[in-house]
Amino acid sequence: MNETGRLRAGRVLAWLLSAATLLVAAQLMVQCADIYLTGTSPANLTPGGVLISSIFSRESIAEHFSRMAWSVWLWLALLAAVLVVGQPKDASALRAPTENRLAILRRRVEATPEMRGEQKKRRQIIMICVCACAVCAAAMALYMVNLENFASRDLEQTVGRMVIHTAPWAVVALAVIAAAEILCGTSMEREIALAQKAEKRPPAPKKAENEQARSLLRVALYAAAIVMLAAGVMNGGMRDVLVKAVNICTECIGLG
Amino acid sequence: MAKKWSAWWAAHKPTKRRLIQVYAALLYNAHIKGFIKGDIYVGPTKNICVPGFNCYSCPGAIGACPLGALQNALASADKRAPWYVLGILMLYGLTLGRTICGWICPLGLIQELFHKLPTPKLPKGRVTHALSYLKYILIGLFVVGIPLAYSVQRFPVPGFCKYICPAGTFEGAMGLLANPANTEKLSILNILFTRKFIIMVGILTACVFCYRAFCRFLCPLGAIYGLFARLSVLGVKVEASRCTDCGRCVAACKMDIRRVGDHECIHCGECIGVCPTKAISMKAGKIVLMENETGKPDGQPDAGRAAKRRLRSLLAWAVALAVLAGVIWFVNRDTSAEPVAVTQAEATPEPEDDTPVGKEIGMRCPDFTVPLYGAEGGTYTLGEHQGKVRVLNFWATWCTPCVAELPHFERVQAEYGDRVEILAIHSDMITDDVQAFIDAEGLVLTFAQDETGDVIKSLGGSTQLPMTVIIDQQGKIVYNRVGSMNDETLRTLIDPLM
Repeated sequence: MNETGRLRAGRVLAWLLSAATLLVAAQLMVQCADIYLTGTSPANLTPGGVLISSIFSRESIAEHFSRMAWSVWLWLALLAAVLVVGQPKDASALRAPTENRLAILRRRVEATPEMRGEQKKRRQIIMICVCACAVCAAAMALYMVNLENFASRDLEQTVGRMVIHTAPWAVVALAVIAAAEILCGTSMEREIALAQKAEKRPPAPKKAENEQARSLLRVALYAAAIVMLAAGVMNGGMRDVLVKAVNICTECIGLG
Repeated sequence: MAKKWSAWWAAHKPTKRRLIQVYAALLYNAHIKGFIKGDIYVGPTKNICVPGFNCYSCPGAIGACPLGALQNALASADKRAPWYVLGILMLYGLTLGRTICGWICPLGLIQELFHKLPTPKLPKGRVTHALSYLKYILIGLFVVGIPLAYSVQRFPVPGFCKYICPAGTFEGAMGLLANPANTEKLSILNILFTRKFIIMVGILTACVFCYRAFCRFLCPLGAIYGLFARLSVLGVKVEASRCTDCGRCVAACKMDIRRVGDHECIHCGECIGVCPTKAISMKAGKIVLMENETGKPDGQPDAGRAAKRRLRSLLAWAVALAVLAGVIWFVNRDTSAEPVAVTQAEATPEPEDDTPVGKEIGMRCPDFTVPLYGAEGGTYTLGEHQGKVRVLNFWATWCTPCVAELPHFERVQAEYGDRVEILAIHSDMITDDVQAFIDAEGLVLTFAQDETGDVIKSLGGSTQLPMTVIIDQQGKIVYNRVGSMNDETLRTLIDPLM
């Protein structure tokens, strides 16, 4: 097999391996869910709703996961094939991000009114994004601070309701951030195009960072951390950590 | 052939960072005995939080998880301010920052190993950068919100650990359940485990295609350490005077950074070699730990410095390995106490019965005497209450499932009256005023305390709550299991004994 053929085969095998990885992952999820659904089906419950036999057992796990053995073997075979054939190295040159290209240009050219207009647009986009995120954060916070939403100790219901009420706001906030990122990126590309036509000037010096202020803040925070540690040891906080850590957290590992 | 192998080795040998990641994973999980016996470490080092993500329910874990500790501390915020955990997080953040993520987090290592699978990869972009803010939402809702909301009810709920954390599922659940000694614990798995397992598989699959998907989009601990990005002593630093803003470092980085050293930077140091002006180096304060050394002439002074550096490196590794060996010895040494003495019933003479005393089903329950809570005080001796069905529930105020199931026991006690005696025995590990807790909850049950922990040990338990033991009228154990109960299940177990 010549080099081109080998590289092409490597790429195809890599894509097949991706598909196989997704297949194995999907099967793991489906089999686990199936064990749960089978175990909680009416056939395994008394009229009072009590389990007749436990949902998970070594036998049920072995039985369910043996059904996906073929996909695991397929995955292993594809992995071996990819490793033997090899993969093409990524030879693409590193392209400087838009922010950096713009930063370089802005230090070397006189800002034109059009460039300032793009900067103003980006500030407006960021302002709108911040306001939108603040509204979403406030909506989520309002739900969280209302303790009536957490009055019930039925955590499945309570946390489920919490997710239903807060997830839309989270999605909106992330979508707004993503949109702002894309719009800002487009605006920066436009400003780069403008800057490339603008009048050149000697590069402006970079602003030096205030190291002294940073060191002072660091020292102050270190002092605060040590005081907090001491306070925590004295008020029993350290013992709380020990007590939780030396007992198996059944909920953390899904047994609770 | 030898040249081919040495070329292969040169291309594939583990980097210094990888070796340090493996070392940290071994150090955090040095309790090898736990993997063999199927139980967790209960020694004094668990007073301290390890810097990285490591579930303390992992059989090997020798320290506490900082994120788990934070949630538990917030869940107890009504009783005491979480100074200890906040102080530890601040100390780690100021000293190491997100260097922890890049160098000494076991979960980071696992993600990078999954990412090495030779599949096409999702490149970073503006959308992934936006998605990196999801972890701050998770902090607000699951790490801070849920524990605080329930702390006023004295109901500790570690939201992130319980519903999302893949480390708990991977290290804790699978680490414990894989051991044959814990086979009976499989029977208490329910919707919680199913959901967390699916989430864990989803996250690990995402890591195959997307570099450090958990770190970038979900990890609250990385988000907290990222707050110290500009202040941490150790980390990758850019010398402003040499930097030309060419952006090669940002382009080469697989994380969603805007510039080297910002809150998304994990200080892995991969950018050090790509900087054309050698402006980037890893520093601890003013001490340079790693820098771009390409292009330096192999002159005498540099050869001498290189030899000194190699010697220092060897010495550092020797000390590190000695520390690891010492820790492994310390946490795995045999510290077992004297076997718990099992006392025979003294109060009421039993009819002749040669049934052995022990913790298994069918054996006679070991006798014990425990002090009672309540205004009247007094003690409770098991042997003095023959002829009734007795239910022993081992619980603790800091255990969420324990607190959640107490009302079920209360309902059953009210329903069966004098025919059944339910005794709720609090663990010897007390973090709250238990009497105040009982009064505040308004629970009507008989509460006692296992002062030394011997009672639960005599029944085969120790590090896992809640645990319920049901004893029939003849004093024989008919049920002995760890896990949550509800009134339906209790009735199903008690009714055949009536």
